[in-house]
Parts: sequence; C-alpha cells; structure tokens
Amino acid sequence: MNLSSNEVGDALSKGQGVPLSDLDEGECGVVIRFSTASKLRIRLREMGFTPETMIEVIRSAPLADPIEYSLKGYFISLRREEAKEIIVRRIDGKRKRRRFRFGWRGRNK
Amino acid sequence: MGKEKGEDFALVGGAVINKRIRVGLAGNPNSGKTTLFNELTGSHQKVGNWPGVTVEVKTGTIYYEDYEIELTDLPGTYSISTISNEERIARDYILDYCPDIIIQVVEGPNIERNLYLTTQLIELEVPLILALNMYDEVKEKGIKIRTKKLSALLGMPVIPTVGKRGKGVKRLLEAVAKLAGHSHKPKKPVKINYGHEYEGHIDELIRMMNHPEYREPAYPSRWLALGLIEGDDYISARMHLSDEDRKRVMDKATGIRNHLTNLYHIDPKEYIADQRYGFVSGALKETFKHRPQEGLSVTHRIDDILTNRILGLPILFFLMWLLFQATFGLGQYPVGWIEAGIGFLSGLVSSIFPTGPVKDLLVDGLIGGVGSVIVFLPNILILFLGISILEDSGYMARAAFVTDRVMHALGLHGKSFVPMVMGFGCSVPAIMATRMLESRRDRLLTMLIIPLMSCSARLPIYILFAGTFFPNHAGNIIFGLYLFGIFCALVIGRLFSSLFFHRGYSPFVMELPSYRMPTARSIVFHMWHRVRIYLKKMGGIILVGSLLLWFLGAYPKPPDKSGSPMISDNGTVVESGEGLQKSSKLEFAFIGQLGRLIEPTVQPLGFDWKMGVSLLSGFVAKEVVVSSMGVLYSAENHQSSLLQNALVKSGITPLVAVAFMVFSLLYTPCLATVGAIFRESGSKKWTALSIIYQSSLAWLAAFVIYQGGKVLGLG
Repeated sequence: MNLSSNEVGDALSKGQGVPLSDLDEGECGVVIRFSTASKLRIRLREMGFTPETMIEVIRSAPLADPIEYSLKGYFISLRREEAKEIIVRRIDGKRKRRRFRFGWRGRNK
Repeated sequence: MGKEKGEDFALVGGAVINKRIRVGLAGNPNSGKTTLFNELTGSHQKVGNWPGVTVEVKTGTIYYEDYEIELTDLPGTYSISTISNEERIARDYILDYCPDIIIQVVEGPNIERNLYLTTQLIELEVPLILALNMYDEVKEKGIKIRTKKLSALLGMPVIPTVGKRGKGVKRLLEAVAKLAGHSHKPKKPVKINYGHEYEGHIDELIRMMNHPEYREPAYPSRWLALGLIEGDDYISARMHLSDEDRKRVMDKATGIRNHLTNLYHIDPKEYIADQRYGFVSGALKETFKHRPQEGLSVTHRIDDILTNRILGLPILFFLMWLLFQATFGLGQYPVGWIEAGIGFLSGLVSSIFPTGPVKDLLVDGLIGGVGSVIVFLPNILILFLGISILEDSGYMARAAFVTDRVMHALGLHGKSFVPMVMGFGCSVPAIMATRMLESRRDRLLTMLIIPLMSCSARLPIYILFAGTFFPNHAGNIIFGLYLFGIFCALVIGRLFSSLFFHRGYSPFVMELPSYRMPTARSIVFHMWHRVRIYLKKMGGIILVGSLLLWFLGAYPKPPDKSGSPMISDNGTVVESGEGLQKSSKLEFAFIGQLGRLIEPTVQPLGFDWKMGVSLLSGFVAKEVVVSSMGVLYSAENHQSSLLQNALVKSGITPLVAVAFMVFSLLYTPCLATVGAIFRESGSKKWTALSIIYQSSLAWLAAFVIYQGGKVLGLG
C-alpha cells in the first residue's frame, strides 16, 4: 500500500493543528499543544506527550475505540475523546511501512 | 536524606553485620522491578507483565558484604506527582520512609519515558542507582546506550541488568554497598535547569523556607520549592514550618504560580514536565543511538493479529474458551489418577480399622471431605497456568485494550477487565488488583462484580455436577457458566453504575507493554504459590469444615429402635437398606435439624436439605460445598466411594444440577472475599451490598431456572 505522502500532506490541512484523533492509522503527527479542556494534560505530559514529540497512530481497537499510539519508543492507548484534546501537526511521508493486514484496516480514506 | 540509621551490630551466619540499609526498588510499571527483586532477594513472588501487578509493597532482606539490605519492591510509578492508588504507595514510601538508596529500574528499550521519573528522584536528592534493565532487548533492538557517559550526565551509577537471567545483579549490589559507604560525602547533585524566570522564583521560595530561625527541612528545599510551584497538595504537610509561616510560603507560592501561568500561558506543572523531558532528551542525545531495524517489531506483528479489528474479539473469546477447555479436558486425566488413589486409600483404611466412630471419622469425614476437593488440584493448576501465561506475556493489557469500548459503554473501564479475568483464579487478589484503577467509582464497581467472575474454588462444584450429569458436554456447560457469570457481572455493573454512581469520567491512558516470553521460572513459581495456598486451605479450613460437618452429621445418634444398628460393613449388606438407615441417622443428627431449618428456603429451587447445608457451609470457602457433599452423601451411601454415583442415586435431576451450579456461581462471596472487599472499599455499606445482592440474585436465578425448566418439562 503506497499511499503517497503528498496525498495526505497536501489534501489535509498542512501545518495546521488537528486533533490527534483525526489521524488515520499509520499516520504521524507532532504535538503542538493540548486543548484547554483536557483534564489529562498533566498526566499525558508526564507520559511523554510533550511539544514536538512525534506520535504515530498504530491502530484502533476492534470497536474503533480506544486507539493505540506510539511515541518515544513505546506504545500507549488512549480513548478517542482523550486523543481529541491533543492538537498535533500532521507529518507526511511517514507511511513507509507495509503492515500485515486483515480486514479493512488498509482502506485509505 | 541518606541519614545514618544507627550502627547496629549483629551476627548473621557468622558474618558481622555492621550496617543496615534500606533500599527501595522503584520504576515505571512493567520495567521488570519484581523480576529483579526476585533475583536480588532469592525469594519469589508474583511477577506479571501487566502494568500494576505489584499491588502491595513487598520486602526482602539481602546480606551483602557487611551490609544487611532491606529491599522493598515498590508498585510501578510513572511519576511522583500524578497519582493512582498504587503510585501513592510508592510515593509515600519514598517520601515518608526515607530509604537510604533507591534503585530505579529502567526498561532499557523504553529509556526516554522511564528517565522522567529519574528526574523527579534526582530532585529528591536520594542516592540513586539506575538499573538499566532488559539490556538484552536493548541490543536486539539495535539500540546503543553509552552507560558510562549516561552515568556521568545523570550523576549516578548506571548498571546494565537482565532481570530474568539474573545478569548484573552482583554489580547492582556492589554499587549499593559502594554508595552506602559514602553516604555522607556531600556530592553536588545534578540540577535540572528550568530557565531564568523559574530559577529566580525557586530561589526566592528556598530563601523563605531556609530562614535560619526555621528548623532544617526534612526534604531538599529545592524539591519543596518546585513542588509548591507545581501546586502539589502533598507538599504543604511536609514543609515542617509553623502554621503561620507555612501560610506565608503557600501564599507566596500561589502568587508565583499565577504569575508564571500568565507569563508563559501554560500551567507550571506542564512547563516543568516539559523541561524535565528536555533534560532527558539532552542526556540521551549524547548517549543513546537507535538504528531502527528493517520491518516491524515482533510485538507489532503479534498485535496486528491479536488486536485486529475483525479477529481481536474472537481471539480473546477463543483464548478464554481454550483456557476453560484445557482446565477441564486436560485436567481430567490427573483427576482420574487422584480419584483412584483416594478410592484405594479409603478402601485401605476401611479394611484396617474396625467398624466404629474412628473409622467413620477417617473414611467419611477426612477422606470423604478433603478427598473430594483435593482431586481438583490439577484443574486449578491448569487454570492458574493459563492466567499467569496471559499475565506474563503482556496479553492482559491487550485484553483491556480490546474490551474497553464495551466496558466503557457498560459504565466500567477497560482496565476493570484485568481484575475480572484474575477473578477467574481467585477473587481475593483480583479485588486487591482493583487498586490499579484510578477512580474510586471504578474500583467500587469492579469490586462489586468481581465475585460474579467464577473463581477456581467454584470449579470443583461445576466439574462435579457437569461431569456427573452432562458427561459429554461438561466443558461447554462449564464455559457456559463462566459466560453467564460474565453476563451477570456486566448487567449488574451497568445497573449499579447508573443506580449508585453518577457518571464520573476516568481516562483510558494505558501503556501496551512489549510482548515477552513468560519465563518457565516465573510460571512454575506462580503455580507453586497456588498449590501451596490450595494445600494450606485443604489442611486448614476444609479439613476442619469436613470434620465439623461429619461430627454434626454423626451426632447425636438416633435412639436404638430397629434392633441391630451395628450391621457389619463388609459389603454384603443390601445397599438400599443400608442407605435408608444412614439417611435417617443423618436427619436425626444436628445437621439434619439444621437442614430442616433451611430447607424451606431452598426447596423452591429444587434442592434437598443436604444441598442447602452444603451451600451454607460454602460461605467459609466455596470448595467446602463439595467437601460437605462428600461428607453428607458418602455418609448416606457407603457403597459408592465416588461422590458422583451418590449424587445420581440421590435423585438429583440435570435441571436441579444446573440450578445448583448457577446458584453456586452467583451466591454470596466467600468469607475471604468479603474480607477483601471490606478492606479495599473501607465501607460496611458496600460490603453488605455485595453479600445481599449476590445472594438474592443467586436465589432468583436458580428459582427461574428450576421452576421455568419444570414448566417446560425439562425436570
């Protein structure tokens, strides 16, 4: 599956902040800030969601929630509503990996 | 800190111990603390690859050189300031118990996040040692860590270890001894710089607290000042100032906090966390190199299948099903051997002892009671084997991940799933494991429904009844019971969550640890630990219960009315006549009187009084239900050494068997569980609710099954 980096990068708000929950599987984003409503800002900060941290969306759970992310070399899961509070800058060109897939995970949006 | 703990001289094993030191083993969840603890102390205990397995603080003693080292294994902590119940235990140990040295165990491949805690410990100025654990994985993953340089940058010894193979343990102890040797040498600690503005305010607060008139603070003043700026509530109590001064300092800190928030547009706590991570990445820039390998990590590939969108839930379901099938199917062979052994023993004792009370006590009370439960040891072993493999491998976290959506919809939390699965083993540790849940609401809810997860003590009841009445479908029937228990737990969870708790929000921030091959050592230990508990129960509560029940069943003797009560028991006597007589004896005895008393309550469920008495005795421990039946039914029918035959002969129908199994599944948690619920909830109200709702639920369910079944013509 070779989704070209440009497709993602250009079509979708480049440079602007988007909620982490908007990223698709396999996409990456860099933390900009937390939305002010987030009660979890401190906890997440301490777990490594600091500004400029690169976060990769690994997969969502079978029922679409929670979502697994990877950052600073480890894996963590957050619920969609929690990920919504983290504003990231979408990074393109990170879809270099081909993943073992079942089902509709690979469908591009 | 690092105070002298008094020179204690003692002789241990001929060696002079001239110094006792206290060492705390801290670290992030899942960094391998407990494995390392076992290697260090030689003692063994529960180790699991699930964030939050260490639910209690465990201590072991090591003698090294002339030191007596008291080592404490602390619960996993991501940070000293954010607090789950477990993290609070670790924090309070570090702050209030003042260990001489802290060894922080770091998960090597995941060093960056792990070092965040290190930055906080550095500020506490406790002598620190870094155990760079899982060093083998570090190399495998193509990571290079320059430990010498890292050690210099962090200002503490950094020792590579491989906990599961005991590598680096010796060097760790050497480092402890060396550090303890110079605990008095003042060493300039490494300082994390928070920038000009912050540093100015920190100094300002330090000056206020270090006023010469004040007592020397028990904690480093820089750490206190930082805590005040962060707004941590546990700081003020630890400030050793007079009330008036404390208020002055607190007011000042509040002012500073507001000022800094306005200045940087960010909560000081967040700012400080960012700076700490900045320090970490600075230290790692020079010492950490990662050359990513081709392809995906093993964990990633396993998860592509195990948490797959389509396969994730079926796999979870299949694994659970497999666990219970194995428990029954594989267990059945050793169970057969033990049964044969008990039958032989029973025959042997019968032939040795002369007829009389001693023989009855031994055969009916002891062998009948304890024997009927001990046969299930293999089943329970297999169940715990399965649970510990799931725990150690890291699958439990995935189970929480996969189920959170459903659990959340039901008013529970994905993390509740893990204590619930542990509940299949035993409710007591499961209830203790609810400490990993952050909110009290989730904890209470989970505690209330855990006893509905069918524990291993109930397994003997199912195996006995399902095996007797549904010999061809026993595995499926048992699996069905487990499912029914889960179903009830979810329904009750949903019900209670809307009845008693308003919808609190608790986040699902959970680390998914790398899969790790469970080590044979840890698995064997798990099982051995379980066997010991089981055998202890046999020798204790079940033995006493069986004997008591036998006594209650044997006395008082009925008045001699039919002429010859002393029929010789040599096997030639007509069975029905013998059975009848024994039965009327039982009814006359205390147990029969008790049975008549409770019979009206269980009659609508299709149970006879003996089943009622057995259930009643099961409050002590659920295994006792079976041992009681062993005593009650074997007393009635001597000829059958096997309880199964006795049950069939006593006229229990398959429908009654189902009702009985369901009742056993649902009714009041056992004494130990009630105790655990009380301890963990700290509330009589919730404990009482637990007993009452479960008993009512059990009665209702059994009633519906029995009466409904009769109407449908199944009985």
